Amino acid sequence: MKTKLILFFLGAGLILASCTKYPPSSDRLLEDLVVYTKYDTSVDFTQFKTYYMSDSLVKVSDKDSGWLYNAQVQVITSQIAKNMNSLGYTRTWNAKTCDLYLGVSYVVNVNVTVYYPGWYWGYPGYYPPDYWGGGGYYYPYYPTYVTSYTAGTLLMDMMNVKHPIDNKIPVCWNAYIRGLVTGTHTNAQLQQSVDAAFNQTKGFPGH
Amino acid sequence: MKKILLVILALIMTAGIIQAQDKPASLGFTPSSYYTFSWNTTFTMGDFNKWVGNASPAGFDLGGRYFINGGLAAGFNICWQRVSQSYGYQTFYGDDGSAVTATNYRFTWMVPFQGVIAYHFMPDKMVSPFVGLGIGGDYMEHHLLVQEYDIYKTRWDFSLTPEVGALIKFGAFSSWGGLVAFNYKWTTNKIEFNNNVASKDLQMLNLKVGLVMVIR
Repeated sequence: MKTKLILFFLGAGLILASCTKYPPSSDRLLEDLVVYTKYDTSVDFTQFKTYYMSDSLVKVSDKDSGWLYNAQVQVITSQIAKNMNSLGYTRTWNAKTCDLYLGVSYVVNVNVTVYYPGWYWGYPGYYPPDYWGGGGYYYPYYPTYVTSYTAGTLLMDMMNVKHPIDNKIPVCWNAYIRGLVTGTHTNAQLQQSVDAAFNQTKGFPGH
Repeated sequence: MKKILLVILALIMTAGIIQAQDKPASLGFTPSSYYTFSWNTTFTMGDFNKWVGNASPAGFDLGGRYFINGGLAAGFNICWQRVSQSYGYQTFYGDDGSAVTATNYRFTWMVPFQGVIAYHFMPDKMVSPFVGLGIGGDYMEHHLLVQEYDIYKTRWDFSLTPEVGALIKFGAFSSWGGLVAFNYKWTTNKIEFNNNVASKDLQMLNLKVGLVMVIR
């Protein structure tokens, strides 16, 4: 009887020990069109008047680099511009004199498993910070990092080129949208995702 | 929920009918104690149901009862339970300027532990219905998962669990049997996240189906 009892408790204990606290990560991670944003809560976004953004996206890839410009990119950049305009900012084509520089890129394929915002700044296509007289870009807040990503993730960084701090150009807002630039989404989905990034930022004027 | 109650009622009535036929089948011995291991399905109620509305089959229960006097038994229960639900695309706002629009995944992980008093109406019969009351506490973790964000609160509580059920032995002189039990649980636990979700006095129903090992 004692042996049976020991086996009974061993079996029950094994089953209990095999029960995990967390649901499977496949249920809750790596979804398309997840929108992350973060902004510097100390920045007054009403102080800015103009912004510069390229019409093309910077390609972040292990294999090649450069720019992407196609119909899908047009939809995305137009929607970003529409949101920026509705915040009261005026688009300028003179990057030298703008208040805000909006760097927009997308991940084609990069061999990393932990992604910290900013690691892509060195890729060709990004304006170097010394263009505005800065010694580098930096986040004045602790940026969000992710432990996984999908190809096609859109990255946006809003640099405050108007007010470099300690010879560095601060990022005042950053966003990324998982899996947006894959060619598998409708224009409406692209537009909604871009809108979500702006709408969920409480620090923007009028929000 | 009604269906489950009906099933439980039918099981208990069936047990009564079996007992009523001729003489109730006897075990051939009076047990001194028994141990149970059961699969536990949780149905959240009240405020808890606003947090997670799904019934959850993710749960196990380990228990023991020791007969003190006649049909009166005392013992314990230790469980593992999880209730969870996905809530589609919603925006979660952090207090540091961050925001995420993604599928929100909520779950509560529970480790209840209780002392139990139970009364068995026919402890030496093949089918032994009982009523019981568990008194104890829970360790609970309430998680809100938004992609990489895991926002959670941990809480201890006090809990009360009235229970009805039956042991159904597999044969005379066998030390093995089945267990069916149904309980209502009331706790002092609560859930609060940035004032977005507020649930207090968490309550639930549990259906337990499992094995029992009877000791002479």
